[in-house]
Amino acid sequence: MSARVVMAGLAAAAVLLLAVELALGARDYGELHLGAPCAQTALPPGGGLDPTVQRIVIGALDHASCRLGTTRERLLLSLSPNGGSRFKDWNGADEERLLRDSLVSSIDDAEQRGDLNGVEARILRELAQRAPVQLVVQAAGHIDDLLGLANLIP
Amino acid sequence: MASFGAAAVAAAVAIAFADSSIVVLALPQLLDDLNTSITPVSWVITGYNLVVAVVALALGSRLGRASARRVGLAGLFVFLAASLACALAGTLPVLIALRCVQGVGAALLLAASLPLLIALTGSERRGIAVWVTAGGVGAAVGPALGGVLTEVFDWRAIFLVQAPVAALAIPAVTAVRARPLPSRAGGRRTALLADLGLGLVFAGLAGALFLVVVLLIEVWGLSPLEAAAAVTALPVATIVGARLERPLSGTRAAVTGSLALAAGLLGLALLPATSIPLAVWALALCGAGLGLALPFFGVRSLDGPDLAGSAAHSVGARHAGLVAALVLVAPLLASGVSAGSERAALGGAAAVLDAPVGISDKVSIALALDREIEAGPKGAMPNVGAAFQGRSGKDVDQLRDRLVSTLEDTLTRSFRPSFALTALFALLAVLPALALRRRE
Repeated sequence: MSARVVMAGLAAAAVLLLAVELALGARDYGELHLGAPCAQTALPPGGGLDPTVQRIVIGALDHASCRLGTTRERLLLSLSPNGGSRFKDWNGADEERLLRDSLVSSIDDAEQRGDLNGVEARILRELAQRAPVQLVVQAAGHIDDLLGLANLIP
Repeated sequence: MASFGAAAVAAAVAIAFADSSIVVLALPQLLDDLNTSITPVSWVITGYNLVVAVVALALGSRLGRASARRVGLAGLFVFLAASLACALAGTLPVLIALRCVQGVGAALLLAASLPLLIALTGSERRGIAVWVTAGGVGAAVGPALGGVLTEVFDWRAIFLVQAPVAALAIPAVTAVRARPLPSRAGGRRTALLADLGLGLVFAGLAGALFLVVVLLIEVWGLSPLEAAAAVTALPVATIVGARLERPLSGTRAAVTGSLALAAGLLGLALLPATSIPLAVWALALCGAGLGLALPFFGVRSLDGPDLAGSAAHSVGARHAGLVAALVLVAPLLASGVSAGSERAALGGAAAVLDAPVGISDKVSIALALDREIEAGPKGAMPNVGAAFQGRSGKDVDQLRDRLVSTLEDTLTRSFRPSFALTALFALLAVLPALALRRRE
């Protein structure tokens, strides 16, 4: 095998490898594409308790993250009890008050959309204003149990 | 008998070079068995390489006056005893200390092995060729050999199998009549430039020996045997590359080899997916580059009036290159994977928020996933399955698949700067090759 063949073969193998990788999207691979803080996000469709709660929670997250100038993903993780403070990239805001205001605003929207009647909206507004935040997060994680309980009521 | 002796000494040389990276696929098992964490356990590798580099460089010019047979035998006995002791180690500090003793034995053996091989083969040219080939193949075969032994037996088997290899070389070295090597023409400057080239090639090789293995095991979740099968591309291509070196003139082989090694490492940096075929392709390029560049630098590093001393410096330069790369790459990888873990958590949160699953699943999975990411070692793939325990259904399964893919992609990308740095080391090896060309 001649020197030229060896060099050309290796050069071709190297160029082809890098070309294949770039063609398969190496440039953007593993990049994180999160929405802008105040970008409109599609709310989950459908009727019933679960989609309604999701629309309220996600709407509240969107609203609060927009006011904090962060992403909803970062705000969500900052609420985690497992060292969520490492995700906080904002300073000086009364985060809890902001979250409660956003939840109330999201409940108002849900009432206007007809997702909630007046009584339900009032109860949820009271909860959003007074219940401890971690309790609300935990309750959301057990909404299935609440639905199960509701089914037991004749 | 002489050819059996040469083969036995060459095998001992290869295993001493392989020891630089042979433990790397066993690190996860060592973490579990010795109940430790990543940084302390990495000293099982770094300690060995550091001691070999220091002892070999210190031996250098002193070796010319000593008997190669005595130094070689001392090295083999220390290496043999330390290998057996490593296999019995019960705690991490003991294992690290024994690996350092093993490094002393390896440095003595490697430094004395060239005069021994010249005596056993009956020719300086053949002795040097066997020494350089054993060094190259040994260095490249380490992770694959260690991976197979770990999977089939246990991490202790890695050290146990080294003992008979060293033991077989003892009668061969005992019987050899290595005369002091005659003084040779040639400047030490050539050897120094070649040592620099070797150091840079081995610094680059750290990417293909260590980073790839961490990626395959910790992020892609391969078993040691699967990872060993993938990294076998490296020694196989090294052997092929060494055969390809013959038609090329010296400098062209070194420049082509260094560029191929750099391109392979760049290929690993630019991986666009969890793709074993692409990783194997890149590793094959690395191996071919190593096989081409190593003979050029290896032979020239032996130039100078004192062949045995030059051999010791050559061994020291290779291990110093590996240690320098480990020292420089470790903090870069640590900061990369730390940022990668944070991005992985954010990507996971985005996947969970957008998934068409119930609110209780979303909240529970998001919290459990964050807990798994926070609890696991930084840069390692979190236990996604644990976050989904007790949950099933088509949408939940789709969310799990999306999460695994998001986390793998993000963590794989976090290795990019570290691979790029090792590619830069390999690229810089072109400079001493060109400087050597001007001198020839």
